[in-house]
Amino acid sequence: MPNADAEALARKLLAEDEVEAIGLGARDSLRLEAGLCLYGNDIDTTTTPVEGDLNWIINKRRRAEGGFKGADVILDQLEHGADRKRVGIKPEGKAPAREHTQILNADGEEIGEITSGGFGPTVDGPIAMGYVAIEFAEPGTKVDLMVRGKARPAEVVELPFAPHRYFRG
Amino acid sequence: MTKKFSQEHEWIELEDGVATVGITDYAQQSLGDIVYVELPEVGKKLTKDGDAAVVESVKAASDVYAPLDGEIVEVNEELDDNPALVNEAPESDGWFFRMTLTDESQLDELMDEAAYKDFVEGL
Repeated sequence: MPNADAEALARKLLAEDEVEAIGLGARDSLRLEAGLCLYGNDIDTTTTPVEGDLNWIINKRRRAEGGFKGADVILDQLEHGADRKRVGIKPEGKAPAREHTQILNADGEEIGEITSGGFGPTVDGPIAMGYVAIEFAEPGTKVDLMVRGKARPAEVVELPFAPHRYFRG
Repeated sequence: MTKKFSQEHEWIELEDGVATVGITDYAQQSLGDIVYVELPEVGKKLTKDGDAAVVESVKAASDVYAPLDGEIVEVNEELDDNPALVNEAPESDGWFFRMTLTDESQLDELMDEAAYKDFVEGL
């Protein structure tokens, strides 16, 4: 769409009853509750689709034929699994754990890092996602999050935090 | 009773040698929905402009600084269960902590209500 038409389209959408203007903060809460990745936070040039729990984006033909960027690593991970995985994390209590928060196991060893975290209005509490070593990726696994120098209990959970209700035509 | 304000948007009310501290209405409006408040421990010694508490809104975590030197004598435990009190009543029920003051004359360096109002309007 040409830039010149963008405002007219936006105003037309906003004129609909069920449409409201929202800012980046609201969008970020919604996508986090939906378990969707923010590029640069949750996935980047150092993560693979297998680590990011995004296997669905690799189609059958590519799985069979390879020949795409990173195919050597990714096909091997599809077959044998990756060392780490992106998971949902639900902090206990009310303190949010934001990006770059360290994730520890029960022995206090670092097993991963939060890549997105904040408050989920639908859940009415803090929510987060991040990468953990594969042996801690099972939902129900208890972990600790280092927030401002204090270890706070949390649990690995299934994504999404709020069920998807996408319009699929 | 003296109520004073800091440039960091805290209010301080002194009564019988104990100062009650919270964040201003302007501060809570700027932060948006507050979802968590981390309060200091009773007995903690505070240094003016040092870290005193943390307030987390939907958008971000922000530090709350000690407006004066002193020691924490009480914290508002109500905020643990209901952090939204800071949005609803920032300058009354949504207070953060109470502290004794090392030097009451430090209060003179803070703004009174009229000066704070001018300060906010200039932002």
